[in-house]
Amino acid sequence: MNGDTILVAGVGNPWLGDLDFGSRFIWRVQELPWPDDVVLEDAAYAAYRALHRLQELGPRRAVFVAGYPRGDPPGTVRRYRPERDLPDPGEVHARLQEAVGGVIDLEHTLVVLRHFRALPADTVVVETEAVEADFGTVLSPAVEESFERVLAAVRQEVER
Amino acid sequence: MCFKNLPVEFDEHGNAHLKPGVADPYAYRVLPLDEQAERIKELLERNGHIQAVDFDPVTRVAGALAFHSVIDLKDRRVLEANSIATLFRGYEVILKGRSPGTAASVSSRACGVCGGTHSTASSLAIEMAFAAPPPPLGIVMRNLMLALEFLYDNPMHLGLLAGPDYSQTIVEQTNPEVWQRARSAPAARGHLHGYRAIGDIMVDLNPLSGALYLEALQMTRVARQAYIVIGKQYPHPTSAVPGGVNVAVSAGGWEEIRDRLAQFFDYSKKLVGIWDDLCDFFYDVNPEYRQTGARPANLIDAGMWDDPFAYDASYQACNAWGSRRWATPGVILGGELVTTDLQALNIGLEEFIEHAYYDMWDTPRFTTDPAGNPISPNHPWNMETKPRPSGRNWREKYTWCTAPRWDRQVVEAECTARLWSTAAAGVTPHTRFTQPTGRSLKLLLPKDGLPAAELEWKIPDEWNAFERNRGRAYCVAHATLVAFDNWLIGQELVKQGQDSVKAAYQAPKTGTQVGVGFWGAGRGYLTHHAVIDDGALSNYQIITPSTWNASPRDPWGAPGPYEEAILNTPILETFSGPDDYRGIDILRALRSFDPCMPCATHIYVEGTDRVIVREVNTCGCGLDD
Repeated sequence: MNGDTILVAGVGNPWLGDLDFGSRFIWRVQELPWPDDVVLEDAAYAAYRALHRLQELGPRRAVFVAGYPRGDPPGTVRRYRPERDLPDPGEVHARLQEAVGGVIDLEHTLVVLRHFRALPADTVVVETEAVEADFGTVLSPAVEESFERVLAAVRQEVER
Repeated sequence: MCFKNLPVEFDEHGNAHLKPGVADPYAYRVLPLDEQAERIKELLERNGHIQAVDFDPVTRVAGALAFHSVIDLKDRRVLEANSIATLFRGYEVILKGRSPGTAASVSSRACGVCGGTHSTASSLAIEMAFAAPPPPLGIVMRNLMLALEFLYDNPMHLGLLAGPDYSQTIVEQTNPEVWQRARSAPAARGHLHGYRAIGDIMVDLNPLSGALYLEALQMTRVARQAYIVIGKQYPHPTSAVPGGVNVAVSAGGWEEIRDRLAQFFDYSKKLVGIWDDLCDFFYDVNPEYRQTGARPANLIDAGMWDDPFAYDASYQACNAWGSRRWATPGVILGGELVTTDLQALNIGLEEFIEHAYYDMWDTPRFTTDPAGNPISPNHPWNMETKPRPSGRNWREKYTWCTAPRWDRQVVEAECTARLWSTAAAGVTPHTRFTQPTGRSLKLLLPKDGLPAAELEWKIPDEWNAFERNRGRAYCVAHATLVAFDNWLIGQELVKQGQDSVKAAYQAPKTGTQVGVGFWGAGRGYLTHHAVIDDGALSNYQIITPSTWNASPRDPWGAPGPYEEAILNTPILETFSGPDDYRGIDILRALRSFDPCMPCATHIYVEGTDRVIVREVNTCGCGLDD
């Protein structure tokens, strides 16, 4: 736990259309200039791995980036703090079980991290509304178009 | 002679050929499933105590595995079982046309947990195609990394997936009489795990709060920390490549691995003690538990962990180097080992799509393997992935999972198969810590906090959910010792100055090359079959353990392993009627296979909303509701 880093974690589900946005975002921005204390992470991994990573890194701030379908117009960029009520313990366990079974999912990651109190108090999620969730190697046009807005939102979170 | 169904025989030199006089040797007739479907439909209409019970998804939240069953709650038996992979796997499609060098990193992403096993199997396939065997230290480091991978994979299953099915929370609600017995039942192996009563173990298996649950979560961290010394990243290592590994480990790195590995000396003794005690307790409390998840002991494993001084990456010599692996390859039918030859294992493979959402492919390209042995039109080197989504129909197509078969028989992939074939064959030369006896495998665990211990996994008399879990606990001890043995060999090679870890090779830009990576995942058998034309992948097929286990019925109507295991599972849960029936026996049977659906399939979500329709009538994992 060093507490002096800002983690920008792209949660991506490999080659699942827009659900892969988080990983693709990290790949694209890693060559850009970032402050020295920013750690960019392709978090294409299951929730329990995210738990260990956050516990070991102990960042002072975390910014999660993902494409996720929540019923908004395609490519809508959302910024929020993960502060909704935690689900019941049975659901937390079920989400962790799915993660152990290999499933990568932003909600699983956030729920598991919050249950184990592994998120820093200063945590923000920047999402774009996913459209395509089927197998595929490209982003949908609306999500592709949202890239710069997501980047701007992430930069704002990193630099505040 | 190991084949009963395929028209293949062997000459005096061990070369396989088709039996003479068979006009269309691999032809088969598809038997309709109509009769069974009609019978079940009638039963459902006529009898109130016969219920359709759908676990969709099995894991309650999202998942990729659903299970349809029809249960007679009065007679407490399962009448119908259908395993449904709800997701489409597209890695074979995505790899087509790509450079072979990218296969390891692309296929690694097939799963959010076991990427290292895929990148390794892929590397083996490509290095076979390119004749690029790694130097000894490269093989040792690969062995070590992929033994460490199982030290987080198997404990995760035991602690977080299967374990909670035997926890106080679950048992107290589904079988209160069993919980009452457990509270005072002595735990015979307290010297290994420290618990006095079975009930105490069950309390510590409780989800999210139990000490064993949390310890499993912590031990996965320890294993991963050792793993990334070689793999650099987890779960998608960057160092596993054709020809070896592309990383050098410092003296400090070797020590870091050793320190973390040593923590598994005691942890694996503890796990074995716990699961031996749990199995014995359940058998004692009700012998019918021996039927939970039971099916014939028909198993397949490709073996793994290569001898650094024997492995040459060639298909021609794979029977020889395969027999020198730490885990011996094998096919087990009816509990008997019928072959340990990788070539026999390979030529017996076929994949069928009659009940899966795929189209049949065109004329098969290969009639023989590179050694001249005959292979089927349905062999992975011939198969093409041609997805065709359609509606679910129990008589026709109902899953995204294909039906792999060996010699047209239903076989199961399971990490315990690794112990079984190694124990029965008795050919592995690596006996410093693991000693096969023909009927068992002795595991000599060094002293740490606990004294040194000789554990002995015995080939079981029956094959069921409990033996799968027990075997997985022994697999943790086995992987620990394989890792330690390779760590010691690695140290010796470094001392001798043999520090090369990767072979230099030229990837051919013309012609056709084929390769197969025979390997294993935490759940068991894993193969990657590659065909390369003019420098690009023209076909790529992955068979994972869950492909075998989640398979649907085959052309002859035989159910896949999950389906067969569920059909044989007695309903032992305590309930008063359909409303309070939880389905714990079925879930125990299913979870004993350690299902990993992202490996077998890929995610398919309808429309633009990720909400997946749940038809769950009853689900043991909703006990907190």
